[in-house]
Amino acid sequence: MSARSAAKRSPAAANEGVAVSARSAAKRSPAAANDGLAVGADPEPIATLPGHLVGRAGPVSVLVHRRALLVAAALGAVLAAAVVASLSFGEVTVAPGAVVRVLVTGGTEYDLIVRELRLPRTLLAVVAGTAFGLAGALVQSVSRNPLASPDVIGITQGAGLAATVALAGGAAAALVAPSALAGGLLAAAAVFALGSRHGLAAQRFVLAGVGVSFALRALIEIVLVSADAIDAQRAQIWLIGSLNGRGWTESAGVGVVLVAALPALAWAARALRTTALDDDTARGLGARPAARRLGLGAVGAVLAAAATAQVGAVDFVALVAPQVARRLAGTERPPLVGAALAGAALVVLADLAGRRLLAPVQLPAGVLTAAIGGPYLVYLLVKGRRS
Amino acid sequence: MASTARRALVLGAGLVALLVAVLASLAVGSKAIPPLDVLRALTASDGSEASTIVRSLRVPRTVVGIEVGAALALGGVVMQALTRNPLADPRILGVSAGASLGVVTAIAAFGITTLAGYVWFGVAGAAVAGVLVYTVASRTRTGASPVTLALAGAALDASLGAIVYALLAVDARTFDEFRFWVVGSLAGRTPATALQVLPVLLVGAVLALAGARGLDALALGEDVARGLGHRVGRLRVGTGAAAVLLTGGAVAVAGPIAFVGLAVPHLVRALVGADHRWVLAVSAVIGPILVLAADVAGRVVTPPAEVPTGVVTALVGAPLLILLVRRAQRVVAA
Amino acid sequence: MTAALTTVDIIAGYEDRTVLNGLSVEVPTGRFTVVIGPNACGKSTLLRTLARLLRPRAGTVLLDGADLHRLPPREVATRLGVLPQSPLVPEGVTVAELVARGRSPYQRWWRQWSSADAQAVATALRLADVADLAERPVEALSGGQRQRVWIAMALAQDTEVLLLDEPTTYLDLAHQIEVLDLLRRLQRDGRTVIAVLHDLNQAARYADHVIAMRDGAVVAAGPPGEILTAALVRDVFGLDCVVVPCPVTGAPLVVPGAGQPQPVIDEGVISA
Repeated sequence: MSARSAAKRSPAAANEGVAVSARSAAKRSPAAANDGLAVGADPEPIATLPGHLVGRAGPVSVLVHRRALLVAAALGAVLAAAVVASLSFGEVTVAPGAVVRVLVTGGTEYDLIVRELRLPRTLLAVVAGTAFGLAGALVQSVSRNPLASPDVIGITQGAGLAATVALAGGAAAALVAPSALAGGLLAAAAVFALGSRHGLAAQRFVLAGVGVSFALRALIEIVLVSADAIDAQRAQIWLIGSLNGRGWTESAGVGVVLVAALPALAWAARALRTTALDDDTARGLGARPAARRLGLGAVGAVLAAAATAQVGAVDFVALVAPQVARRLAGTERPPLVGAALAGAALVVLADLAGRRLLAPVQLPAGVLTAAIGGPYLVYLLVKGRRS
Repeated sequence: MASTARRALVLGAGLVALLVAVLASLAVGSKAIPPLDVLRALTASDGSEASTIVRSLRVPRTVVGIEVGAALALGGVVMQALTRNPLADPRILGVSAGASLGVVTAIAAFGITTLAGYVWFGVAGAAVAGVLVYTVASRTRTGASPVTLALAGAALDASLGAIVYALLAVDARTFDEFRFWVVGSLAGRTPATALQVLPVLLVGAVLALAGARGLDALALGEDVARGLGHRVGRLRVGTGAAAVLLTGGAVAVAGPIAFVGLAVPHLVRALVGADHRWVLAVSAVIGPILVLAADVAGRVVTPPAEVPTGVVTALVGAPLLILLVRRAQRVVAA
Repeated sequence: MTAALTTVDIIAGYEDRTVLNGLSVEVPTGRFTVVIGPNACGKSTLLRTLARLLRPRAGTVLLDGADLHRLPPREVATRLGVLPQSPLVPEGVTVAELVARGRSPYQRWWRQWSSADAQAVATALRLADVADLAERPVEALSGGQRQRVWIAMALAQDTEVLLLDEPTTYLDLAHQIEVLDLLRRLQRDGRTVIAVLHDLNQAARYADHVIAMRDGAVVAAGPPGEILTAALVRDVFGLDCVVVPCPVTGAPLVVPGAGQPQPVIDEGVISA
């Protein structure tokens, strides 16, 4: 009997034995946990996770993915450059140095052009792009699918339908944005309701979204047909998504929602850690997966609807930006900060290109994002889902 | 599993219903023409107003309706079989959008205005979109999940749609025509139109029927199909080409009429089972019935204005799509 | 024998059917318990109910005397570690990152990576013998390695109890033994281990306590040496067999067959 058990014991068993008593002691007194475990066998523990940076101050500690941090910094720089470019180029080219001077001190001859004409539009591009990027990152994480985005699961179409109805019905311009917001949120609610059996499982949620999205698109086309030509044209322009003639009010519309969503986003950053796991594993770790998906999806829906309401259906930012950020950072899900910065940069650059590429003809930003997003989508499809 | 007798009965009943639909399509409209006058107008041209309406307006419209209905239904059957996805439909997989883009490019960029000219652009556009979707479908050994395929199609539809609308946003007049074309309508189609697209559709239909047996085997999985002796690669290309020709042609003629390709296969499979020879044959009958019925309904709902056929199918098809999504959700694993 | 986990009269199942109808089971503390039974007998349902993955329609599950389903999820996660069937591997995640997920019950938004976390992950990696794989992506590992990584994640949770739903399915034999040996080492360290296993002989070899189920009820429970008999196998699986002592471990070895003496052919001489 003892020979058998001895034969089975590995040389490390002696260490294990020490670890056992240390562990059981540790269970009784959590304060002694570190000391208990350090007794005897353990090698030098890894102070940090490979690829991550840890900041510690007493009991408070913060964990950051190193590459994601670098990518965020790089994207921030790209965004800054894009903003300066957007403020520089136009009918009158303002040198970057002058742009900076106008922003910081003012009192130059370019004040009017930069501050009154270009800054509002650029700011709108930044906040809208941020909202789209975040919304996309959230929706893609919840759906566990890089092809998912608020554009294709019904939110954008809901906003579009409401706006089209408002415009075709001759409603006052001020009513369009709130209607679009309401439409987007209603569509999101419908998708959640449809996909909510079995706890909002990723695939069912996405399938519901696709179904709702197609149904809504058909309805949009019907409304366009029933409207008169001019209203239909206006609705169509809105549907493509454009920043033309929009500025401070629209920026405020999106900005307010972003600021209000900050606590939710802080929660989301942690809650996203379990979305890629299956439900059972997530529950085993003490999370509530269905509730998390609902919360994350809701935040994404609100951000997407808010941004769409103010700039129209600027498609593909929510699809492309999170994936670009993810590939650059090498993480398994889109990093929130990276996605936001990439989205902002994308919309700023798209708007700039739309303004200048075929000047004096103005292309709506939505056309440019489709022109970038379309080929990128093709690339995603052809390459397959493996990163 | 329906017996052969039952299937024959369904086919027979379908043909009778089709005749009724054709008659209705010829008789009903802003000016209702009694059936006997219709028959008289068909047999001899006597210069009366009724005869003119029937022969020059409604007959071509009806013929196009039959062609388009059959083509979309057959295309839908093939797509659902190829992708093993109950939600596949030329619209949902983005193939219609590809065809639309092709047609719009031909008209707007190359100024081609004849159907015979731009139908090939439509087919080419459908082919490009079809290839993309096929690539997604063959990504993994077991084929893409219905969800990924639906997402890819939705994104493709959105992107191509955006490009189309972008092309048109700068050209108000073309946009005004386009917004009616894009819902799909049979109004104003000429006999020439009906004839010009026929060869394309016939080739597509023949290819589809030829692949019927192979599609049956493919439903069991690629490996099983190969084990049964089918050349899966060739089968895919052949039936894929069929889907593209059928969709491209139908969209070029009548615009992307929604949901016919989605609904008819489900309805037919419920009636005659899953044998693709029967499904294809009966779909070619039921599809036209649906389209003609929608067209007739569009004529009588708000006289004298007409509701385009595509609007009617969309209004009926959208809730149906939601219903099918719910059913598909049960099949898709959590 | 003290019980770590107990179920009292639980009725549990899925939306279309009830699987367990008034089942009361005790899982002994500090032992390796294995649940066996034919397909659809309810062993997975039982394990998932014990692991707080499935809520019973009636009855209670007690963890050290407290109602499991009333405790906050986080607290339960510090006391029960679960390895479900076919867990999903997130794309692109490294071994260390996945094991680090096991620390989530202890982490807060202001305490994202304490030294205790680092310590626990290091220990878990070492115990599961995947420390040298720490920086590799999980998708690139073999089945056996991947399973050990999942176990390491459950270990990082630093729980007294480990529940595993068919941890050896889809693994080749060498990897199956690898995983089971690891589980036994973990149990010898003082943990309570409960696993659902398909293979009767593996159950007999590794378990201290076997629970045999059929049709949602417990047919027998006890040490394998005592309860694993030909009569039990016939009762639970409907299979005729012969139970012999294993030549390596002495545990019961189930050999399917009718048990009639077969003629032995030895150098051309047939003897009964």
